[in-house]
Amino acid sequence: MDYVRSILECLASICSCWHCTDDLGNQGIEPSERTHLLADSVNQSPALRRSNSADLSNDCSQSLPKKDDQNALSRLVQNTAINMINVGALDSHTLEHQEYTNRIKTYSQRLQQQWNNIQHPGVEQTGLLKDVPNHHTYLSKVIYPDDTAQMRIFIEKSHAAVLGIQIDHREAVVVPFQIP
Amino acid sequence: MSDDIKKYFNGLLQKVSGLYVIQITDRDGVPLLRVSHSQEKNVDFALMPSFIPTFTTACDQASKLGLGRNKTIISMYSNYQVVQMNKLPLILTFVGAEDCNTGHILALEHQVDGYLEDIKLAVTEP
Repeated sequence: MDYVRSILECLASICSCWHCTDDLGNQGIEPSERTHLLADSVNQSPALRRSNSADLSNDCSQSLPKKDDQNALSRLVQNTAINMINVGALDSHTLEHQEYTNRIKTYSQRLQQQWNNIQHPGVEQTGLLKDVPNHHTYLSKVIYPDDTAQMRIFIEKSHAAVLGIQIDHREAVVVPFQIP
Repeated sequence: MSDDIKKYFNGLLQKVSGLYVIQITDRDGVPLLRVSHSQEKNVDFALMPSFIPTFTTACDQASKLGLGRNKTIISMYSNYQVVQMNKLPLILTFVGAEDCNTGHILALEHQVDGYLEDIKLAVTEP
């Protein structure tokens, strides 16, 4: 009996270490498939249903310090369930229709409350000088007549060059394929 | 403001030729935002409440096989492709034509990330 008890104590210590690391992971920024979403009224996620009973038993067992063995066993079962590859669980992850509609309403309400606080990252500045941070300083500078004349000359030359483009037609535009 | 955001996502939709739908859901498939092309084909199969949780579970189960936790699953079908991104607690789903440029779809991720941080607040407790 002492031998069994020592094994259980060893398992309990290992499991408590695992549990601590899981908790640390959950407390971080990275959410997982089992992270709680909203409050209990809408928090009936299928991913959480399996662990709810285990959580309850954990809560109860934590209130009773004498049941350390039971606590360790429940943690062991929970960790095993999490680490086990269970392809059959794919079918059980569907929401009830009522819950689905309730969540849509809740999310839409919360989003409506938040939309006003969200800064729109896709807002684009309009205008020719959108990439110039202090355009007032440039616009307020004096424009010299020589610069204006030089720009006019460049534009006239460019315009003349565009008008001077000609196509030298030497061959037939439509080439017949030599299909037998 | 919601119109602006929908307009922004519609702009993203127009950027990629052959992209039909962009949808943001929670991990159980409950939709938060959806924009679709006006000439959208019937792609409801990829947006059903049972399809998206399968992605979440598949990511979770596949991570135990030794490949580690993945971020994106691309499913190619005969007429469509579905790109699902793991942004827990949100899931980002793109549905496009089979010849749509998948790299262009993946490149949209960075343009959506700014919004997702704010939308996550609607799904989780403050």
